[in-house]
Amino acid sequence: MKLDPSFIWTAFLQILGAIPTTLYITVVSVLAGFAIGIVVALVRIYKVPVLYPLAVGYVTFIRGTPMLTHLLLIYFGLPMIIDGLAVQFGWSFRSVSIPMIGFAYISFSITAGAYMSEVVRSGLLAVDRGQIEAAHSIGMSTPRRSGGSYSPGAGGEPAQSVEFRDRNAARVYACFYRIGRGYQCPGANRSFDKLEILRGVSGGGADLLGADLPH
Amino acid sequence: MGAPFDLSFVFSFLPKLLTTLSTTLLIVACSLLAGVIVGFIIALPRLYKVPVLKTCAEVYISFFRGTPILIQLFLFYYGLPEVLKLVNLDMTRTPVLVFVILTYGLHTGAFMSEMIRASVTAVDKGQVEAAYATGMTSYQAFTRIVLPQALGIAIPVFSNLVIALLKDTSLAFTLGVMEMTGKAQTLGSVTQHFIETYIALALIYLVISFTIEKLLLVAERRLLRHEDQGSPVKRKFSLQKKASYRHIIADMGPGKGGGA
Repeated sequence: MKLDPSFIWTAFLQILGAIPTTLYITVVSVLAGFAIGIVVALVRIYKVPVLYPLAVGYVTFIRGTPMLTHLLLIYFGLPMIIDGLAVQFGWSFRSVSIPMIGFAYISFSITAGAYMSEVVRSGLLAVDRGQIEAAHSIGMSTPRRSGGSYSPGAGGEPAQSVEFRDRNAARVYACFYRIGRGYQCPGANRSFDKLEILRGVSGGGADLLGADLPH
Repeated sequence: MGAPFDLSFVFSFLPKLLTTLSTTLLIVACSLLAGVIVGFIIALPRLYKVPVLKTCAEVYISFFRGTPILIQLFLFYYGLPEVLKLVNLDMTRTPVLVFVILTYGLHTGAFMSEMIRASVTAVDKGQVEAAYATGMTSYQAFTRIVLPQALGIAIPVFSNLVIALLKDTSLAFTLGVMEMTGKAQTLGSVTQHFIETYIALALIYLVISFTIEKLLLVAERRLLRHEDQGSPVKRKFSLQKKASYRHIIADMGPGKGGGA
């Protein structure tokens, strides 16, 4: 293998074509994650009876395990659950009809949701107590307080964290190529023997590294 | 896809995955050590505003913070031997683990330097001036005044970094290192019980991150024990649905919002 600088440009142009996919995953999971995050954060702040431990468990689990495991668990687990339910209730829907990108959207949204809930929660908690008390004293209702005086104050605080989260997310999304695109790396034959062994062991189409997956 | 779900596999996979735990922890420990050293070296020019070195440090940080760790792993693993070949250094016999630790070390170093810079600048400047005024040398002022406070400020960030690093090591298997995720991949492929392997894997990661978090929380409490624990910032936040006037008064603390 020799370093070929001109190939960098060739590869660059090829990779540019995949930017929309990356951005789609980013945008969808940030939006969905934000929605999940708000719900989870509110559940945690108001300590909603049954949901509270669930929300805490969800955030702990997601924050304590690598992104890659979420992706793999959703990718292998979700079809199993859906197909099981489909057989049970006689649905015609099967997991095969879920597009590849769907799994990415789902698992990245779930991951982003947990991190986003912490962003939202810290943003809300950072608003000074006195402001809520002031809102009480002039007779605002709880939602009015949340919408009218809370949110504008809280908006600035999460903005920085969201930006941080975004950059993190974009980086994490690089993991995703593994499932969808198989394993391609130009001129990368150095460690391929080991990966080939992995691939050989699997024998079938279900191996990630060989990625022969339904679309 | 794969065999039907069987919970007993989760438990039988746990000990098998735990045999590779040492590799994962080795990567974490070595890169953490490298990261702290690199972080200090990178943070110093930025703290003291050394002209050219400061720009170099900024470029370094923006590279490592702005590109995915996966790409960095590939770049170092495939690129470094090529570059070193130009200076007649043969790297083909170097174990993969060295490249992995090097990459994670440099990656963590970039984040460490930000952490160090932030926590040192967070210590009140007046305290350093006071230290100088009492006749301390700049070394004494740093070790006696700045460092103990900066450590306390840095611990939460450090805790996040360690846990992030632990989770990032799950990508090391892409270079063929047999750490926990790599082991899980092979176990899944051999037995076709993918979900069970990944559940077991997730459990192990969860337990380790949880332990690290709790340990560092103890360290943080200890380092910040001189701080006022009852400060209004740290007070537990709650929203009462039926907050009567008396309740509000009772809840008002000496903070800037309520009592002032």
